[in-house]
Amino acid sequence: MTILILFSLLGIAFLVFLFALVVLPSPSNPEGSAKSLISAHHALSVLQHSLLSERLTNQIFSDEDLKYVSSIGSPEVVELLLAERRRLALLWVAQVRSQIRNLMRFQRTQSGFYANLSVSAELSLVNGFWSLLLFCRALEFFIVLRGPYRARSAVRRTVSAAAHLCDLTGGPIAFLSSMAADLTVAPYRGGKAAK
Amino acid sequence: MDRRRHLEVESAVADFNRRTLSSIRRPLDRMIYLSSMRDCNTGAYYHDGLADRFSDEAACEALARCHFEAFLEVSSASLADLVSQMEGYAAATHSVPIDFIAVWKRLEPYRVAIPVDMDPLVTEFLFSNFKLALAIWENRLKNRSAGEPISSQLRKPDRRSPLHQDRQNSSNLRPTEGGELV
Repeated sequence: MTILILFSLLGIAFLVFLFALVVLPSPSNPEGSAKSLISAHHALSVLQHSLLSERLTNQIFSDEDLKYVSSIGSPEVVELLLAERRRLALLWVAQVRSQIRNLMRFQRTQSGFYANLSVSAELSLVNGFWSLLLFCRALEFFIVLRGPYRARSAVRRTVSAAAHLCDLTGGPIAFLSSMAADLTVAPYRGGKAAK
Repeated sequence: MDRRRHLEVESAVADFNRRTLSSIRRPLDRMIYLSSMRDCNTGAYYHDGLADRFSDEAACEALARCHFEAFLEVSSASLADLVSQMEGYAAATHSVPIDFIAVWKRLEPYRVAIPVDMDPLVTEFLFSNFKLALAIWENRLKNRSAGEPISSQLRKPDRRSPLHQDRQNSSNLRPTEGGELV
């Protein structure tokens, strides 16, 4: 009996250790931390200002262009439109997934330095990330099988879930927004105009 | 950017819009025209008149911003609108539609007409729309010319090669100081 209790305690201690490895921030050097912070900020910015914007999702998934092309009466052009929109839709899902993974990496390794989240909040966030990644994968299959125009309600759900995660992750690094404007230097900015 | 520079850029944008861009009605024409003012090696924009009135840096940034705005307008256009803009642009450059389509399909000149540092997905969406617009336009021309000899519908008797035509069109893109396409 004593041995059983001892092994149970060891097992629990091992589980706690594994949980700490996954959830708690790992020690890192300041340079790596800054890189990770900037990368997370970039991921947030891309998601919030581009990928999740209503304008872009409407353009890719709206059937307005399909109606117009169908009215032309050319099956080849309709086929080309469907192939192009499917390609773009898959590209969109892949980019959302990639940026979500970046945020997840930041959350796993660095967020402890910037946000004091409770264990339950951390767990709920991790659950949110994994659910969204799985949902994105399912969405990809759906788009391949049924095309982008039938995936609109699933896209809306993806956008709303991703936006919610962005809000949760974005709070602790909001201070970077003002800095980013100064850090981001487009090639043409400040470039001496050539005669 | 400090406030003074910001104000200078704002004035340069307003000046350029008033003097030049207001006379170029189609966003597609504006985007191509503005891309022709960019040095492809450095990404810097240059316009004589604007650089005379403002500093080089402000003029460069103002042109970059106008280019960005034109890009946004073109990329948010519907396919129907884009087809009509392309037809208008080809007509303005005195191109024969079938030659224009052939050259644009082969060379994809729109790929160098976009501003730098654009969102890759939006850019890809625009390229895809250009491809579709060319297919739609080509299909429309084929339907229109069905039953008639293609040469009489689409080609003038003494045509030069499409590439020659394209080179000439490129040089036609530069408007005068007043803004008209020459």
